[in-house]
Amino acid sequence: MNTQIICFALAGTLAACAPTTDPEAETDSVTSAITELTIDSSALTTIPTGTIPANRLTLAAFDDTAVASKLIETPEPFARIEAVSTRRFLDSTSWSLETDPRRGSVLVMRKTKGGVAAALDPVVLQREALARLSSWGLLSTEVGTVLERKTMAHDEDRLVGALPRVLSHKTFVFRQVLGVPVEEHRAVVTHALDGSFQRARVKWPALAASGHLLHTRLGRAEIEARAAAALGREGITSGAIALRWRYVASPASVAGEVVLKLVVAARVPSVDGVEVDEEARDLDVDVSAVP
Amino acid sequence: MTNGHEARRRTAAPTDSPARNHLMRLLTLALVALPTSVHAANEMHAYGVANFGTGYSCSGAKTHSVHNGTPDDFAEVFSEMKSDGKWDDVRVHKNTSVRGINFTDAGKVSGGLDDQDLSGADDADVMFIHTHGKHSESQVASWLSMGNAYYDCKVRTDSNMRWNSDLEIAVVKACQSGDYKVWQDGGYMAQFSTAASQLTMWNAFHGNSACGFWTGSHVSDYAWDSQLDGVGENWLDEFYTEWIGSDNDDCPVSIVMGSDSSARDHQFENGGWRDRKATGTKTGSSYYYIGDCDPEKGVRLPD
Repeated sequence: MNTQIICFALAGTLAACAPTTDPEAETDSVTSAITELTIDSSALTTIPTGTIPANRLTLAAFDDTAVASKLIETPEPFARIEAVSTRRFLDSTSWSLETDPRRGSVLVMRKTKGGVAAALDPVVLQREALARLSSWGLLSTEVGTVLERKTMAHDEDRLVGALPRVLSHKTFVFRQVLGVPVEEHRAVVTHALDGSFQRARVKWPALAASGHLLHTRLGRAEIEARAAAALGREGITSGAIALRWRYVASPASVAGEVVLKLVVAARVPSVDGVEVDEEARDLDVDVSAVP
Repeated sequence: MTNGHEARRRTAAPTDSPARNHLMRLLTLALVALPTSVHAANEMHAYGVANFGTGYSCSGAKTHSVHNGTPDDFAEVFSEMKSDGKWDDVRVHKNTSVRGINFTDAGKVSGGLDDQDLSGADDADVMFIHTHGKHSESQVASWLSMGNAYYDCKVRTDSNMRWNSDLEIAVVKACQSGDYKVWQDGGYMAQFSTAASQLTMWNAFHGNSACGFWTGSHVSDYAWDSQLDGVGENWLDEFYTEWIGSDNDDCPVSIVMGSDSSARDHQFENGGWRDRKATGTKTGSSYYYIGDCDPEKGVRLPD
């Protein structure tokens, strides 16, 4: 692991830069200057290069007909029930469907439960989930981590507990571009216990053709300094911090296309407290991203 | 349903004499002082506590500014629904406005105001809160940090929070707010202390749950997706995360109360803000989670 230790306290540094004749202030600076901020930037060794995938999910995929035929894979006709803002609610005999191209969202649910539980191979379930998404237009070019998991339910009635039961099988698919995770964007495909397709929940807005800020000219030392500054602004002057590349999306068009911007996430570890614990958190570090 | 404030503002139309104007103003103030949305059909309260250790805020943690953005992110869809006439009332409270007394039932503490109009968590049908939390297996409870040191700085699931007025769905973005061991030992049962309790769902986290500059987008997506369906399952889909490293997963859980597992499954899979399923008498509960999830400050969940 390539870990660099930066021994400085930003608050103290800033205080030292300010004109002061208060001896107590100088003492505070010395005290805070001995704290350590350990920044691990080893994950930034490989700097993202390249362009967005030529083959990727498009806005057309969010058309109601396309979702019905390619994601749900049903010939059933859908009727529009209602709308809230840009979100559309549709219904067919067997399915309910919600689409919102502006937000890049799709929610598909089968109205009936699956059949009797069967012995299922998680590898097969995952392959089927990815094939379904690919058929719809969500291609492997944008796919990063894929996890196969079970939804579990543990029941307790009148103080009598049962053993946990499997409720469904889920394939979590996380978006990635140029080897960098895209925050927030994921697709979750759910299979019932008999292996049939039960539901899909997708947040995967279409990427615009241009306008992305995918790269940075900053070196690791510069990024570490920026991370330290960002942490200092939050009052964090000590602790073991890990840096990771991330893409964040912002709207590029009213229709729903987004552009990506490269940032660095500085992971601040959790803090144990007497009354409450502070969760681990990511602070975004601006890396002056460029096209 | 008509918003109470808007309706009453219309009664304060300009008048043609100072005396009459003064009288009308007094009448209007009196009317406005009255509860304006008592038992409105659909109410949502969102709370966020970001500030700690300064002024009237509670101490014990650093400021997490994200906690102040997420209530707005959650409220966005409710405001849109309200604009469309599909929701009645939306309230957002932050920092020192998030008071322990508004999460405390009068049955626990004399003067508890959890059903206070427009402020109390049990006055809403749907409640969201983003703050710090903690649990204790030995004390069989979780608790949440509040925003105002003048009132209780923490409220507990085994005592303060007894939902017996309006609250049906609680969404809690706070560490350890739905611990598996605490659930197994009955630490969330007091929340539906009567079989007639309205509360059907407590969406929370087993173990710690990370936050960051991306949290608001997740909260917003979850809220938008859960209008009619999947209010429990969407929570798991949206927030389950396996971070780099070990023992640090984000483990969202949904605890549903009701008479039998079938009714509870129905609310978990098919309930929504505008389609809150009846789950029957609150004689049992189901704990929904992603198998094998292994968080910080919580056991690995069984698979």
